Amino acid sequence: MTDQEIVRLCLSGDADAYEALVERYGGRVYNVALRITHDADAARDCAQDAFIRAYRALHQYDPVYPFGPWLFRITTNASLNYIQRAKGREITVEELPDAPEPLEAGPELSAVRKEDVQEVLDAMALLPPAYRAALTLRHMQQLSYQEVADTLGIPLGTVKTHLHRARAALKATLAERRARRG
Amino acid sequence: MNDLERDELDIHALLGAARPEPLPIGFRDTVMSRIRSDGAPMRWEWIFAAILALPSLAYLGWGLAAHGAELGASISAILVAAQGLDQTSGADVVVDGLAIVSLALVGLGSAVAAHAMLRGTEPHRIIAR
Repeated sequence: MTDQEIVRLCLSGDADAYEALVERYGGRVYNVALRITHDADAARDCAQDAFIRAYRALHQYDPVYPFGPWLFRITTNASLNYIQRAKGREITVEELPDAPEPLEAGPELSAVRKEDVQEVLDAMALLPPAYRAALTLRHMQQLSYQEVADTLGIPLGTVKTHLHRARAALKATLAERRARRG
Repeated sequence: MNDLERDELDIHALLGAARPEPLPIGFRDTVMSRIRSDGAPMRWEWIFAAILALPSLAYLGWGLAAHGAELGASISAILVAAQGLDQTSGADVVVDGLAIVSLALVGLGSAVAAHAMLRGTEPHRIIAR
């Protein structure tokens, strides 16, 4: 059964049909929230909240478009709202740090090892939430630039800038850590 | 995803290789129990609101069409009387009980519709631009 068919069932009053969507997208939604909030409890709450909000807003969903990015949009909003509440203020791009340039002898990131992955995830946790959201959607949920832009509700150019800065910041952090380790 | 650029290949490979964390135990059950306790989707609220409000609106519309001229004349007479220009008769409005009940039902329907609208509205966005 397609996502759109399940949505149609839900809208006709069959709430139990929604369970299939929770089953299908639960893991991805939770992991998006986890990478943005970097807190397992907060991610669980945000992911649950996202599913509830999505259910309540099902009549606003346009079945012409895929369900996943629409759900990720709600998840991203819930996660960024959580961070905003936790910090008690809005996060704006102007507050984000300038993009650090990668060090001259930047790390070679070609070999994918378990430790490397953990290291990059740790470094990612130090980035501003807006950067984490863009990186998560682009590289962990495999969305295209346009889909990331649609999900975050920002222009395509801004997404590319965010991602460029985020990657540069990641590489700089990794290089710094490795240099410190010697 | 076929729009990968060269300078993002390394980070993409690393982040793409990250193992997804498993869902917390009981996640799905918690979501579904909240959904079930949430009641039927908003569509039913809209239908209920329409059932409450539409007949009443139709009655009020009919009343206005049938007695609109009298109402206009009465309001004019009230305004004239309020200005102290004339104290003659006709400065009164007769409202039947059914019109009052209709107005109340329209109000109730509006409240139900407002509730459905609020439940279905996404919270304000805060994404950095």
